[in-house]
Amino acid sequence: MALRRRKKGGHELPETEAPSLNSLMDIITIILVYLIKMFASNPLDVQDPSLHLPISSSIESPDETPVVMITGAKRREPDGRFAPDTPTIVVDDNVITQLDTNTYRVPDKLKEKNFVIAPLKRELQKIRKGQGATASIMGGEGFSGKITIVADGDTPYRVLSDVLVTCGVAGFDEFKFAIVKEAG
Amino acid sequence: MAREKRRGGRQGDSKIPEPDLLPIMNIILVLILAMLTMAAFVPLGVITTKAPKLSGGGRASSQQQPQDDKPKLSLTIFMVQEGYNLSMFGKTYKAPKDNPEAKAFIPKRDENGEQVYDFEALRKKLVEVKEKNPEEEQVTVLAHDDALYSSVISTMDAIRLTDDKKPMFPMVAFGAGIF
Repeated sequence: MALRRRKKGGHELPETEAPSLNSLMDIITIILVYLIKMFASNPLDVQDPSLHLPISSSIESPDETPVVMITGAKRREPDGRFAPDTPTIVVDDNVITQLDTNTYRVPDKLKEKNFVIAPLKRELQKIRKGQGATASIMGGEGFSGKITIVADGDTPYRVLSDVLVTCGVAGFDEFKFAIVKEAG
Repeated sequence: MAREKRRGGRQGDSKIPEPDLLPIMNIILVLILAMLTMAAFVPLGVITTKAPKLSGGGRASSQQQPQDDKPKLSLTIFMVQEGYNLSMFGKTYKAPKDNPEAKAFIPKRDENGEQVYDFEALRKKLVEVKEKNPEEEQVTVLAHDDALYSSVISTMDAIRLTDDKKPMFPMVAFGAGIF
Protein backbone atom coordinates (compact mmCIF):
# COMPACT_ATOMS: atom_id res chain seq x y z
CA MET A 1 0.00 0.00 0.00
CA ALA A 2 2.69 2.42 1.08
CA LEU A 3 4.85 1.27 -1.79
CA ARG A 4 2.11 1.93 -4.25
CA ARG A 5 1.58 5.40 -2.82
CA ARG A 6 5.27 6.19 -3.12
CA LYS A 7 5.33 5.01 -6.72
CA LYS A 8 2.35 7.16 -7.57
CA GLY A 9 3.90 10.24 -6.04
CA GLY A 10 7.04 9.70 -8.02
CA HIS A 11 9.37 9.99 -4.96
CA GLU A 12 10.83 6.51 -4.94
CA LEU A 13 13.08 5.95 -1.90
CA PRO A 14 16.05 3.59 -2.19
CA GLU A 15 15.12 0.19 -0.87
CA THR A 16 17.05 -0.68 2.33
CA GLU A 17 17.91 -4.30 2.94
CA ALA A 18 17.36 -5.83 6.35
CA PRO A 19 20.75 -6.10 8.18
CA SER A 20 22.22 -9.57 8.21
CA LEU A 21 22.18 -10.95 11.73
CA ASN A 22 24.35 -13.95 10.92
CA SER A 23 27.67 -12.51 12.11
CA LEU A 24 26.05 -11.15 15.28
CA MET A 25 24.52 -14.57 15.89
CA ASP A 26 27.96 -16.14 15.51
CA ILE A 27 29.48 -13.79 18.10
CA ILE A 28 26.68 -14.35 20.57
CA THR A 29 26.76 -18.12 20.10
CA ILE A 30 30.52 -18.16 20.75
CA ILE A 31 30.05 -16.13 23.95
CA LEU A 32 27.28 -18.48 25.06
CA VAL A 33 29.36 -21.60 24.38
CA TYR A 34 32.32 -20.05 26.24
CA LEU A 35 30.14 -19.27 29.27
CA ILE A 36 28.59 -22.75 29.30
CA LYS A 37 32.05 -24.32 29.09
CA MET A 38 33.30 -22.11 31.91
CA PHE A 39 30.38 -23.23 34.08
CA ALA A 40 30.86 -26.90 33.19
CA SER A 41 34.62 -26.98 33.79
CA ASN A 42 34.56 -25.40 37.26
CA PRO A 43 33.83 -28.22 39.70
CA LEU A 44 33.64 -25.89 42.69
CA ASP A 45 30.73 -23.50 42.94
CA VAL A 46 30.46 -21.35 46.04
CA GLN A 47 27.25 -19.33 46.09
CA ASP A 48 26.41 -19.30 49.80
CA PRO A 49 26.22 -15.67 51.02
CA SER A 50 27.65 -16.65 54.43
CA LEU A 51 30.84 -18.16 52.99
CA HIS A 52 33.93 -15.98 52.85
CA LEU A 53 36.83 -18.14 51.75
CA PRO A 54 40.38 -17.34 52.91
CA ILE A 55 42.94 -16.03 50.43
CA SER A 56 45.98 -18.14 49.59
CA SER A 57 48.99 -18.11 47.27
CA SER A 58 48.18 -21.65 46.08
CA ILE A 59 47.71 -21.96 42.31
CA GLU A 60 46.24 -25.45 42.34
CA SER A 61 42.82 -25.79 40.67
CA PRO A 62 39.86 -27.62 42.22
CA ASP A 63 39.08 -31.25 41.44
CA GLU A 64 35.85 -33.17 41.02
CA THR A 65 35.45 -34.56 44.56
CA PRO A 66 32.77 -34.71 47.25
CA VAL A 67 32.47 -31.37 49.05
CA VAL A 68 32.08 -30.76 52.78
CA MET A 69 30.99 -27.19 53.39
CA ILE A 70 31.04 -25.31 56.69
CA THR A 71 29.08 -22.09 56.27
CA GLY A 72 29.72 -18.96 58.31
CA ALA A 73 27.95 -17.17 61.14
CA LYS A 74 27.41 -13.95 59.17
CA ARG A 75 25.38 -13.76 55.99
CA ARG A 76 25.92 -10.92 53.53
CA GLU A 77 22.59 -9.32 52.61
CA PRO A 78 21.94 -7.94 49.10
CA ASP A 79 22.35 -4.39 50.46
CA GLY A 80 25.88 -5.26 51.66
CA ARG A 81 25.11 -5.46 55.38
CA PHE A 82 25.82 -8.55 57.47
CA ALA A 83 23.10 -10.49 59.28
CA PRO A 84 23.62 -13.31 61.78
CA ASP A 85 23.30 -16.82 60.34
CA THR A 86 23.54 -20.35 61.71
CA PRO A 87 26.76 -22.12 60.72
CA THR A 88 25.89 -25.38 59.00
CA ILE A 89 27.78 -28.45 57.82
CA VAL A 90 26.67 -29.45 54.34
CA VAL A 91 27.83 -32.38 52.20
CA ASP A 92 27.11 -32.09 48.47
CA ASP A 93 24.06 -29.88 49.13
CA ASN A 94 22.69 -32.17 51.90
CA VAL A 95 22.46 -30.43 55.27
CA ILE A 96 24.18 -32.62 57.87
CA THR A 97 23.88 -30.52 61.00
CA GLN A 98 23.69 -26.98 62.26
CA LEU A 99 26.29 -25.79 64.74
CA ASP A 100 25.44 -24.39 68.15
CA THR A 101 25.31 -20.64 67.56
CA ASN A 102 26.23 -19.77 71.15
CA THR A 103 29.34 -21.91 71.41
CA TYR A 104 30.18 -22.30 67.69
CA ARG A 105 30.61 -26.04 68.22
CA VAL A 106 29.17 -29.25 66.84
CA PRO A 107 26.40 -30.30 69.26
CA ASP A 108 27.77 -32.93 71.65
CA LYS A 109 24.79 -35.26 71.11
CA LEU A 110 25.91 -35.73 67.48
CA LYS A 111 29.45 -36.72 68.35
CA GLU A 112 30.94 -40.12 68.79
CA LYS A 113 34.22 -40.65 70.58
CA ASN A 114 37.34 -38.86 69.32
CA PHE A 115 35.72 -35.86 67.62
CA VAL A 116 33.75 -37.93 65.10
CA ILE A 117 30.50 -36.31 63.91
CA ALA A 118 28.16 -39.31 63.51
CA PRO A 119 25.79 -38.01 60.77
CA LEU A 120 28.73 -36.67 58.75
CA LYS A 121 30.51 -40.02 59.01
CA ARG A 122 27.37 -41.85 57.78
CA GLU A 123 26.97 -39.51 54.80
CA LEU A 124 30.64 -39.81 53.83
CA GLN A 125 30.53 -43.60 54.10
CA LYS A 126 27.46 -43.55 51.83
CA ILE A 127 29.40 -41.47 49.29
CA ARG A 128 32.37 -43.83 49.54
CA LYS A 129 30.13 -46.85 48.88
CA GLY A 130 28.48 -45.00 45.98
CA GLN A 131 31.85 -44.19 44.41
CA GLY A 132 32.89 -47.83 44.67
CA ALA A 133 29.63 -49.08 43.17
CA THR A 134 29.80 -46.57 40.31
CA ALA A 135 33.36 -47.60 39.53
CA SER A 136 32.43 -51.30 39.47
CA ILE A 137 29.67 -50.62 36.92
CA MET A 138 31.23 -47.87 34.83
CA GLY A 139 34.90 -48.68 35.31
CA GLY A 140 37.35 -46.00 36.35
CA GLU A 141 39.47 -45.40 39.39
CA GLY A 142 36.73 -45.81 42.01
CA PHE A 143 37.17 -44.41 45.49
CA SER A 144 39.96 -41.83 45.45
CA GLY A 145 39.96 -40.71 49.09
CA LYS A 146 39.91 -37.06 47.99
CA ILE A 147 37.58 -34.57 49.60
CA THR A 148 37.21 -30.81 49.26
CA ILE A 149 36.68 -28.74 52.40
CA VAL A 150 34.92 -25.45 51.76
CA ALA A 151 34.87 -23.51 55.01
CA ASP A 152 34.23 -19.93 56.00
CA GLY A 153 37.40 -18.08 57.01
CA ASP A 154 36.07 -17.47 60.55
CA THR A 155 35.41 -21.16 61.25
CA PRO A 156 37.18 -22.08 64.50
CA TYR A 157 39.74 -24.87 64.49
CA ARG A 158 37.65 -26.97 66.91
CA VAL A 159 34.97 -27.38 64.21
CA LEU A 160 37.52 -27.85 61.43
CA SER A 161 39.38 -30.54 63.36
CA ASP A 162 36.11 -32.41 64.06
CA VAL A 163 35.33 -32.39 60.34
CA LEU A 164 38.86 -33.48 59.36
CA VAL A 165 38.90 -36.32 61.88
CA THR A 166 35.47 -37.50 60.68
CA CYS A 167 36.64 -37.42 57.04
CA GLY A 168 39.70 -39.44 58.01
CA VAL A 169 37.60 -42.03 59.87
CA ALA A 170 35.32 -42.34 56.82
CA GLY A 171 38.38 -43.09 54.67
CA PHE A 172 38.94 -39.70 53.04
CA ASP A 173 42.59 -38.87 53.64
CA GLU A 174 43.41 -36.33 50.94
CA PHE A 175 42.04 -32.93 51.88
CA LYS A 176 41.62 -30.10 49.40
CA PHE A 177 41.01 -26.84 51.22
CA ALA A 178 39.10 -24.37 49.07
CA ILE A 179 40.62 -20.91 48.90
CA VAL A 180 40.42 -17.77 46.82
CA LYS A 181 43.56 -17.41 44.72
CA GLU A 182 45.67 -14.39 45.56
CA ALA A 183 45.63 -11.65 42.90
CA GLY A 184 48.78 -11.54 40.78
CA MET B 1 14.97 -7.28 -7.10
CA ALA B 2 14.12 -9.80 -4.46
CA ARG B 3 10.46 -8.95 -4.81
CA GLU B 4 10.65 -9.54 -8.52
CA LYS B 5 12.25 -12.90 -7.96
CA ARG B 6 9.59 -13.83 -5.47
CA ARG B 7 6.91 -12.77 -7.88
CA GLY B 8 8.52 -14.86 -10.51
CA GLY B 9 8.80 -17.65 -8.05
CA ARG B 10 5.08 -18.03 -7.82
CA GLN B 11 5.09 -19.29 -11.30
CA GLY B 12 8.35 -21.26 -11.29
CA ASP B 13 11.10 -21.84 -8.69
CA SER B 14 10.08 -20.87 -5.14
CA LYS B 15 12.64 -19.33 -2.75
CA ILE B 16 12.50 -20.19 0.98
CA PRO B 17 12.17 -16.95 2.97
CA GLU B 18 14.97 -16.17 5.47
CA PRO B 19 14.02 -17.21 9.02
CA ASP B 20 13.38 -14.42 11.48
CA LEU B 21 16.33 -14.66 13.87
CA LEU B 22 15.29 -11.87 16.19
CA PRO B 23 13.38 -14.02 18.75
CA ILE B 24 16.30 -16.47 18.95
CA MET B 25 18.69 -13.56 19.39
CA ASN B 26 16.55 -12.24 22.22
CA ILE B 27 16.55 -15.61 23.98
CA ILE B 28 20.31 -16.03 23.65
CA LEU B 29 20.97 -12.50 24.90
CA VAL B 30 18.79 -13.12 27.94
CA LEU B 31 20.66 -16.41 28.55
CA ILE B 32 24.02 -14.64 28.36
CA LEU B 33 22.90 -11.96 30.78
CA ALA B 34 21.56 -14.59 33.18
CA MET B 35 24.84 -16.54 33.04
CA LEU B 36 26.92 -13.42 33.53
CA THR B 37 24.96 -12.47 36.63
CA MET B 38 25.20 -16.03 37.99
CA ALA B 39 28.91 -16.33 37.32
CA ALA B 40 31.06 -15.56 40.32
CA PHE B 41 34.26 -14.18 38.91
CA VAL B 42 36.28 -15.27 41.92
CA PRO B 43 39.31 -17.39 41.09
CA LEU B 44 38.83 -20.42 43.31
CA GLY B 45 41.65 -22.82 44.08
CA VAL B 46 42.60 -25.50 46.58
CA ILE B 47 45.46 -26.45 48.88
CA THR B 48 45.99 -30.20 48.94
CA THR B 49 47.25 -32.02 52.01
CA LYS B 50 47.42 -35.72 52.71
CA ALA B 51 46.78 -37.16 56.10
CA PRO B 52 49.81 -39.19 57.22
CA LYS B 53 49.44 -42.97 56.87
CA LEU B 54 49.45 -44.78 60.16
CA SER B 55 51.64 -47.86 60.34
CA GLY B 56 50.34 -50.49 62.70
CA GLY B 57 53.02 -53.15 62.65
CA GLY B 58 56.64 -53.08 63.63
CA ARG B 59 57.68 -54.21 60.15
CA ALA B 60 56.25 -51.13 58.48
CA SER B 61 57.80 -48.78 60.97
CA SER B 62 61.18 -50.46 60.67
CA GLN B 63 60.99 -49.94 56.89
CA GLN B 64 60.40 -46.24 57.44
CA GLN B 65 63.38 -45.89 59.75
CA PRO B 66 66.24 -44.11 58.08
CA GLN B 67 69.20 -46.38 57.37
CA ASP B 68 71.78 -44.07 58.92
CA ASP B 69 69.88 -43.65 62.21
CA LYS B 70 69.77 -39.92 61.62
CA PRO B 71 67.36 -38.31 64.09
CA LYS B 72 64.04 -37.32 62.54
CA LEU B 73 63.10 -33.65 62.40
CA SER B 74 59.42 -34.27 63.37
CA LEU B 75 58.61 -30.63 62.81
CA THR B 76 55.45 -29.53 64.62
CA ILE B 77 53.98 -26.05 64.66
CA PHE B 78 51.76 -25.11 67.59
CA MET B 79 49.36 -22.25 66.93
CA VAL B 80 48.78 -21.02 70.48
CA GLN B 81 46.77 -17.94 71.51
CA GLU B 82 49.92 -15.82 71.73
CA GLY B 83 51.68 -16.92 68.52
CA TYR B 84 53.69 -19.91 67.30
CA ASN B 85 55.71 -22.46 69.20
CA LEU B 86 57.80 -25.02 67.34
CA SER B 87 58.94 -28.53 68.04
CA MET B 88 61.92 -30.11 66.27
CA PHE B 89 63.94 -33.26 67.03
CA GLY B 90 61.69 -33.80 70.04
CA LYS B 91 62.51 -30.44 71.59
CA THR B 92 59.82 -27.77 71.97
CA TYR B 93 60.73 -24.14 71.41
CA LYS B 94 58.55 -21.81 73.47
CA ALA B 95 58.91 -18.22 74.60
CA PRO B 96 62.47 -17.53 75.83
CA LYS B 97 62.61 -17.48 79.60
CA ASP B 98 65.00 -14.54 79.68
CA ASN B 99 62.38 -12.37 77.95
CA PRO B 100 59.33 -12.08 80.21
CA GLU B 101 57.43 -10.03 77.61
CA ALA B 102 57.57 -12.74 74.94
CA LYS B 103 54.69 -15.19 75.24
CA ALA B 104 55.51 -17.49 72.34
CA PHE B 105 58.55 -18.54 70.33
CA ILE B 106 57.23 -16.43 67.42
CA PRO B 107 54.80 -14.02 69.09
CA LYS B 108 51.85 -12.39 67.34
CA ARG B 109 52.46 -8.96 65.82
CA ASP B 110 50.36 -5.85 65.92
CA GLU B 111 48.49 -5.01 62.72
CA ASN B 112 46.22 -1.95 62.89
CA GLY B 113 45.68 -2.50 66.60
CA GLU B 114 44.90 -6.18 66.14
CA GLN B 115 47.15 -9.05 67.20
CA VAL B 116 47.77 -11.36 64.24
CA TYR B 117 50.03 -14.35 63.67
CA ASP B 118 53.43 -13.39 62.26
CA PHE B 119 53.42 -15.51 59.10
CA GLU B 120 56.54 -13.88 57.66
CA ALA B 121 58.60 -14.54 60.80
CA LEU B 122 57.43 -18.17 60.74
CA ARG B 123 58.41 -18.51 57.08
CA LYS B 124 61.87 -17.04 57.76
CA LYS B 125 62.40 -19.48 60.62
CA LEU B 126 61.27 -22.43 58.52
CA VAL B 127 63.57 -21.43 55.64
CA GLU B 128 66.48 -21.78 58.11
CA VAL B 129 65.16 -25.18 59.23
CA LYS B 130 64.74 -26.35 55.63
CA GLU B 131 68.31 -25.29 54.73
CA LYS B 132 69.63 -27.57 57.47
CA ASN B 133 67.19 -30.42 56.65
CA PRO B 134 66.60 -30.29 52.88
CA GLU B 135 65.19 -33.83 52.64
CA GLU B 136 62.36 -33.18 55.15
CA GLU B 137 58.93 -32.38 53.70
CA GLN B 138 56.45 -33.16 56.43
CA VAL B 139 55.08 -30.88 59.13
CA THR B 140 52.28 -31.21 61.64
CA VAL B 141 50.09 -28.25 62.60
CA LEU B 142 48.31 -28.15 65.93
CA ALA B 143 46.08 -25.17 66.61
CA HIS B 144 44.16 -24.04 69.66
CA ASP B 145 40.38 -24.37 69.55
CA ASP B 146 39.65 -20.74 68.66
CA ALA B 147 42.22 -20.39 65.87
CA LEU B 148 40.46 -19.26 62.72
CA TYR B 149 40.47 -21.26 59.51
CA SER B 150 41.86 -18.22 57.63
CA SER B 151 44.85 -18.12 60.03
CA VAL B 152 45.40 -21.86 59.52
CA ILE B 153 45.40 -21.38 55.72
CA SER B 154 47.86 -18.46 55.96
CA THR B 155 50.06 -20.58 58.22
CA MET B 156 49.98 -23.37 55.62
CA ASP B 157 51.00 -20.84 52.97
CA ALA B 158 53.96 -19.82 55.11
CA ILE B 159 54.94 -23.46 55.67
CA ARG B 160 54.55 -24.84 52.15
CA LEU B 161 56.47 -22.34 50.03
CA THR B 162 59.40 -19.96 50.37
CA ASP B 163 59.13 -16.30 49.34
CA ASP B 164 60.30 -17.22 45.84
CA LYS B 165 57.69 -20.01 45.64
CA LYS B 166 60.09 -22.94 46.14
CA PRO B 167 58.56 -25.93 47.99
CA MET B 168 59.51 -26.08 51.64
CA PHE B 169 57.28 -28.41 53.70
CA PRO B 170 54.45 -29.33 51.29
CA MET B 171 53.09 -32.26 53.33
CA VAL B 172 51.00 -30.70 56.08
CA ALA B 173 49.19 -32.88 58.61
CA PHE B 174 46.79 -31.70 61.30
CA GLY B 175 46.43 -32.69 64.89
CA ALA B 176 43.35 -32.35 67.06
CA GLY B 177 42.45 -32.10 70.70
CA ILE B 178 45.82 -31.07 72.09
CA PHE B 179 44.88 -27.65 73.49
